[in-house]
Amino acid sequence: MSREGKGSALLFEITIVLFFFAISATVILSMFMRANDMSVSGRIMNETLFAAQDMAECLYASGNQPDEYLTSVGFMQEEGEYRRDSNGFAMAVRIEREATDAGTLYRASVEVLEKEIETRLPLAWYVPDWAEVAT
Amino acid sequence: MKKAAHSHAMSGVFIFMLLGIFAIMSTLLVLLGAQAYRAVVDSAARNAEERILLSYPANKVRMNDDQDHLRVEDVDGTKTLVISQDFDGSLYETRIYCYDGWLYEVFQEHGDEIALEDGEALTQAAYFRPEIKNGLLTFEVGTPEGAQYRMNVALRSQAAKGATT
Repeated sequence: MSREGKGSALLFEITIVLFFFAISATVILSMFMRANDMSVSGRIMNETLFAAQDMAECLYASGNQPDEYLTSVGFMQEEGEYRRDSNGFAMAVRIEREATDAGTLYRASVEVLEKEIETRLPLAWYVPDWAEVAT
Repeated sequence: MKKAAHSHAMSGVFIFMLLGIFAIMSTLLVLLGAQAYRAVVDSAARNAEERILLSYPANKVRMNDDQDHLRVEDVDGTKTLVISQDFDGSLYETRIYCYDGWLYEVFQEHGDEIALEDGEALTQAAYFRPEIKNGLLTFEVGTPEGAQYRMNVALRSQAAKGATT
């Protein structure tokens, strides 16, 4: 092979190497970006779950006065559910009651939405008619 | 002849340029990758630390939520969450508190002398402020980075006497 031919072959080889390098770099960087996105989503999911758990605990402690509790912490009643926007996320609470002979069964759903990540936590608690609610 | 030599030189320069680009891009890729990896690891670690800060005390309380087994006690100006447990007739206490920039836990027999530095460090924390009021345990925790969290745990043994889930 002539010297010029060797040069062209080397050039061709390097071009192919660069092409594969560019593809690999794109794939690797997109993987890192995806990992970063997943990490951020995980953090947000964590925050929304803690917010939902916190609300569920407070609703449980409110006993037979969940509506009063929600109003007292800034929730507004809209279309049959309570809504509040605070601390960077939107929260919605829906409560259903089922009266029984001995008390009331409360079923609630707490939804927390932050940056298009939604966490939904269902909960239920029973308050007998004779129960003294501490709140 | 002169033209061919010039073309050959240009080809050589171009090859070296390509090699240079390859080297620079490889270095950049390694640096960017390392930076992204570090960001992901840091974020995951921070996430885990925050989860421990909130979940650990909350789950500890949920596990031991018995009548009169929970209280908040002041030890040398530090608020400690005390969880009492009965083992074979002896009363033991688990204390969770913040000391020297760390969330600590100590397990000891009731009545033993309390030394805050004797506990086991769980995770870094700026503060831990527990409070029990109206059947709710509320604790505020802060991270060393300045994030603040507040968590409520309904005490089944106190919140609504007779109410069940």
